[in-house]
Amino acid sequence: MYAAQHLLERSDLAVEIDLYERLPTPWGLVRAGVAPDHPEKKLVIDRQFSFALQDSRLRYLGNVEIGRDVRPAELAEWYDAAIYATGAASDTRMGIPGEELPGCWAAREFVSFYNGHPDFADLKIDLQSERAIVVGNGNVALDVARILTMPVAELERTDISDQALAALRDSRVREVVLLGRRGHLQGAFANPELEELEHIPGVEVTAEGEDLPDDDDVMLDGADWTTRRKLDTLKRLVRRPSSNPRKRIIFRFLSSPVEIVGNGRVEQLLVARNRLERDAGGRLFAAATEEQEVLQAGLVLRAIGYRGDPFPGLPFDTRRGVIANLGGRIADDGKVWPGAYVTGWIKRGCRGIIGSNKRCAAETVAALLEDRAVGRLRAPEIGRDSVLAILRDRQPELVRLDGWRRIDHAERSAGRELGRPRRKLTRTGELLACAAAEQGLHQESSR
Amino acid sequence: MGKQVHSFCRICEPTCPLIADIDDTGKVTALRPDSTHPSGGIACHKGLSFLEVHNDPDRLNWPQRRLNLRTEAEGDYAQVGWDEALADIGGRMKSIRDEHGPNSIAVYVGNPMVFDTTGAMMAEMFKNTLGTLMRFSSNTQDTQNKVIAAGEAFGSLGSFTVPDLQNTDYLLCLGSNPRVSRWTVMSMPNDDVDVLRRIRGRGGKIRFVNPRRVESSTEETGPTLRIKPGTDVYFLIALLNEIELKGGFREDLLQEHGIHVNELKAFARRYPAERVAGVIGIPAETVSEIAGEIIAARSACIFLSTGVNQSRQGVLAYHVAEMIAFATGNLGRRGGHYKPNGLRNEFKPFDKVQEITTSVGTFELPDPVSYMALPASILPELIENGDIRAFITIGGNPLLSVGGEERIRAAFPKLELTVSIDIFRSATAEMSDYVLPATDWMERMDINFLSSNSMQPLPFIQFTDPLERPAHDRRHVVWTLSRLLQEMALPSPLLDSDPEMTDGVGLIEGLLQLRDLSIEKITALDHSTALLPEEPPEAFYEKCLQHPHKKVDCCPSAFVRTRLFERCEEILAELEREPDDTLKLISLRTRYMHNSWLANAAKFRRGKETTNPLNMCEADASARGLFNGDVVRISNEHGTIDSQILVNNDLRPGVVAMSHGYGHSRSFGLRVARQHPGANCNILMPTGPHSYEPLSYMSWLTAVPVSVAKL
Ligand SMILES: NC(=O)c1ccc[n+]([C@@H]2O[C@H](COP(=O)([O-])OP(=O)(O)OC[C@H]3O[C@@H](n4cnc5c(N)ncnc54)[C@H](OP(=O)(O)O)[C@@H]3O)[C@@H](O)[C@H]2O)c1
Ligand code: SF4
Repeated sequence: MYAAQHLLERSDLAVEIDLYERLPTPWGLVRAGVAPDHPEKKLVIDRQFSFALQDSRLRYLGNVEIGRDVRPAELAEWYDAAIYATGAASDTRMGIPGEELPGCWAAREFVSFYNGHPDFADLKIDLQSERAIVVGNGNVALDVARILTMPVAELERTDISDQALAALRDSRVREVVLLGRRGHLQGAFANPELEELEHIPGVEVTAEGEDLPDDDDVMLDGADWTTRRKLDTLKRLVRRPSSNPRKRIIFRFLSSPVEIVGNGRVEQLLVARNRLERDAGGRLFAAATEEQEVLQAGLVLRAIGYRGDPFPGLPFDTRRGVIANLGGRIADDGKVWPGAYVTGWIKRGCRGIIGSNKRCAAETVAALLEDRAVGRLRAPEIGRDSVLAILRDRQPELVRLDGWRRIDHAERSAGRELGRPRRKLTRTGELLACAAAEQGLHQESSR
Repeated sequence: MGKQVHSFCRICEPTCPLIADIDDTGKVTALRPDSTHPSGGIACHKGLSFLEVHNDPDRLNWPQRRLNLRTEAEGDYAQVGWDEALADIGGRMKSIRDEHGPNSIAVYVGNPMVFDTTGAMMAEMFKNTLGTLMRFSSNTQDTQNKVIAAGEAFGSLGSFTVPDLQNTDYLLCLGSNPRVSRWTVMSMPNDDVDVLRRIRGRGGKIRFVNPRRVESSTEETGPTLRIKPGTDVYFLIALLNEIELKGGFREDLLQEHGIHVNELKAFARRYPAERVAGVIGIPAETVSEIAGEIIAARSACIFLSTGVNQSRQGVLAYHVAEMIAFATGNLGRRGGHYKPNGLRNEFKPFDKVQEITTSVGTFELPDPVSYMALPASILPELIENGDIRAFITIGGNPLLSVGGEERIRAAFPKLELTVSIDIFRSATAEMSDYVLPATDWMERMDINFLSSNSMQPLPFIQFTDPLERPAHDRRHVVWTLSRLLQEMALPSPLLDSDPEMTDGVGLIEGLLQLRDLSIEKITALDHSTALLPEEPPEAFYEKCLQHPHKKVDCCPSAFVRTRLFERCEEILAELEREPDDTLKLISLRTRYMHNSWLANAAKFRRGKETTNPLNMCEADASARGLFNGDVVRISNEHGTIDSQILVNNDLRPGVVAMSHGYGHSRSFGLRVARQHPGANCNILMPTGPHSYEPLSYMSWLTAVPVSVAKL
């Protein structure tokens, strides 16, 4: 969306944009990734993206999968340039025995589930055990811990999926353990996200595995301001007096998962205690000690990073988990493919907040415009109308702007009755039916 | 190797210090905040992005003459030479003036001129020499109520006060959003409202009163009391009354410095908090609580700004705010309302008026006029009725910035001559016979005259050279207007003094001389800045009270003469009768808008800034079956516009908001703005004889009833 916006802003160019989306719905990570209790992070839709989507120079083409319905090679022929912003559809695995057992999920799957992503709408996640373990200390881990411990009544005021609400209403999870392989000073989470834990009613937060240092502790020497701030928050959190908490979140630092044990499903997690050591480059890493411990848990969620998947027909950098590129230009082994670009997580890896993608897209768009200026782009071989005709032929259930608007309205109307911002449609069939509703009444615009 | 030059921004009141990086060819390559300047002001993104405006390919570079009739929306312009253009304009103005009198020539001066010291002085001289009282300006859209109210109460049009934010313990801030719009009619160094955090830091309290929870209102500053729009005046009167009831009046001070005190009290007693609570949407107990807070505070300020100024009763609202300060001992006191030292620091008595008679009535203006203007909202009538024959616009865009766009457009072809002096071919310029290219602030020498005119808490005078030579055939308005006078065979500064004079050096030297300074002396100082000594706040009584009796007039006879008190009662009755589901449109300024000059900057036209959505809270949207993004028609008796809904829960239910400065679909010379024209909400604003405040001539531009229907 940011890339489209950057292009539309160029009033000196006669741009025309086709925006492809695999799902019937737009907004990618903002719809399917941002936690439901973070509506302020979704404001970018109403304040920015929706205005780009309604720009007459942009055509929304939902429910079209590149790779299945259209090949990248075709895009190269149809357009001056193609920008891939496909995000991360996969995640880093722990690589430990028992990871395949039922009850072990990727946080990504759980996030997609509670955000109503159609591919995960009916995830059979079992929340019947008392303890859940989240591996990782990033913001995703905190998102998940929050959702698992928040009072359902609060979630009922958000746009969380109905299936997730049902599962959380029945949840027996009382304790969420966050495993951090390194120490409290190395947490990847951000301070505002940490502070939020303070505001979950009835939730006690504790830290284990390592004593939290005093202000004048030598180990704080050299710690930067951000780190100190996070530590202050953490200390404040664990020192809060708590009486009779409903649920608990436990930070367990210096701990790595070793093996998941269970008879046909997750029952225990074997955890190794770590020690911090410095590698040759001076970076602190976690080295396992002999000490191990068994934690009972029926649910293990790994939140140790997202990864991009290889994209059929495009070069992939398996090490970084991104489409191989040089500053946004897709490049195979250092050789640039003219007219093909990437932006977002699939370009630079899974880091940063929503807003980080703005600058990322600006770099890509600048590369594109530079290539255009020096004549490196090939003119399209077919016109816009022909593209649309081909797409309709291949995907009769193409979702256009009016279709998305109907979905948007339907979701918001349903939400309004319940005092929620929206009630998401989560199954592809429902979405497509809604998009197509009363289509006969309107002459669909052919732009 | 290039050089760095100290200068300052001239977009709004803080006039923030800047450093300009200038390369060897003399081009400015960057504008940066000047953190070393003693004022401590930090330039914001608007000032720092001004290079986009300066280098905009749509800038006007040569005089242009319209070849086709003004009945056609799009002008067909041909480039002409200055001499040819000025000779033709001057000749036609002369014959219009000879035949129909000086008042047949109207001059409209826009907001950017306020920040062009010599240009503004020359424009004043131009109008005086023409002898026309047919004067209009953006002041009647934003501030004229304060100027005239201060003139009546304190005796000088320059005596409006400044709140001592640096030292105050209590701030009541109405209709103002300093975080976005800055402090207006005062020049507070821009600090992203750090000054407010400091009030809290020293244990003080801040309350915002606004129909919308404003960006300035945060946990670090203070809460917003969401008042019903357009009712601030009743809140303030009730507050004054409540303060008296609680025994909070400093009767000794009222006795010593005031006249007509009893009349003021009698007026206030008619509006007890219980009476107005329903209309203002604030419980009587809250009004009483605030009264208690003001009395208890060691010092207190009441600051009100554009949101109140534009809402029909700006004079009374401002007057009552000043009277609260006066009655509680906060006038001319540290932490209260005061008048800082300034370049001129001289407050001329306001004791004479002059009249102009038009087809819609007789109007008074101060004598000398002192930058005051007639009601802009009667422009459509005056043009339609033929009062105005020639219309000269200087750095303004009245077609969009006052109500009645369609009427003005329809009437414009009646004018015999229209000229627009601007840096862009704006909507108004598009309707002109001649469009004359002006300089922007980077292209001219200046001093921060407006700000340094007793509006700064830390008084200083700053001088700047032009950062770049004017490009192409752009000319400073001082030269253009002087040449026009010359062509009309009227006295012109060009005749008497230096014929080469282009940018009013002499005028600046004259101003600096008031402080024993000169351009040479001030440029020798650090940052070309001369600090002025601070004066005790008590000096207010000495220097600002300019009535012959040297007292504060608590109930000026002009208010009675213009029926302000009766009108106050009538409007209250009108508000009481209003149906419960009335929607009122207020104005909302975003961080990306200022005046027409910023409308064409692509970086300010992103996301919701590409349209001008109608902000509405969820409750109101829900009640009307509307959703975010829905296209709606907004209408009232004055006009109809289309926009789309943006759900914004900062708004009080019953209030909708849009931004001014949109509606560029026919601004053919502004290519970026035209691509994202947005709707001109001023089309919904009242025009004509009853649309302005009778004493200040302020337009009614906010809290206007509208209806909204889904399209
Ligand atoms: N609210 C928000 O703003 C928000 C919400 C969600 C996501 N995000 C952003 O989205 C991005 C992705 O978030 P994320 O949480 O998925 O990733 P992340 O921030 O990279 O965090 C990954 C965490 O997993 C740990 N880890 C990695 N490999 C591990 C292994 N093999 N065994 C045990 N622990 C391991 C890391 O520890 P080490 O430090 O030791 O490597 C780190 O604590 C981040 O930039 C994040 O800020 C933001
Ligand atoms: S606050 Fe006003 S004067 Fe200061 S930089 Fe911004 S626009 Fe310019």
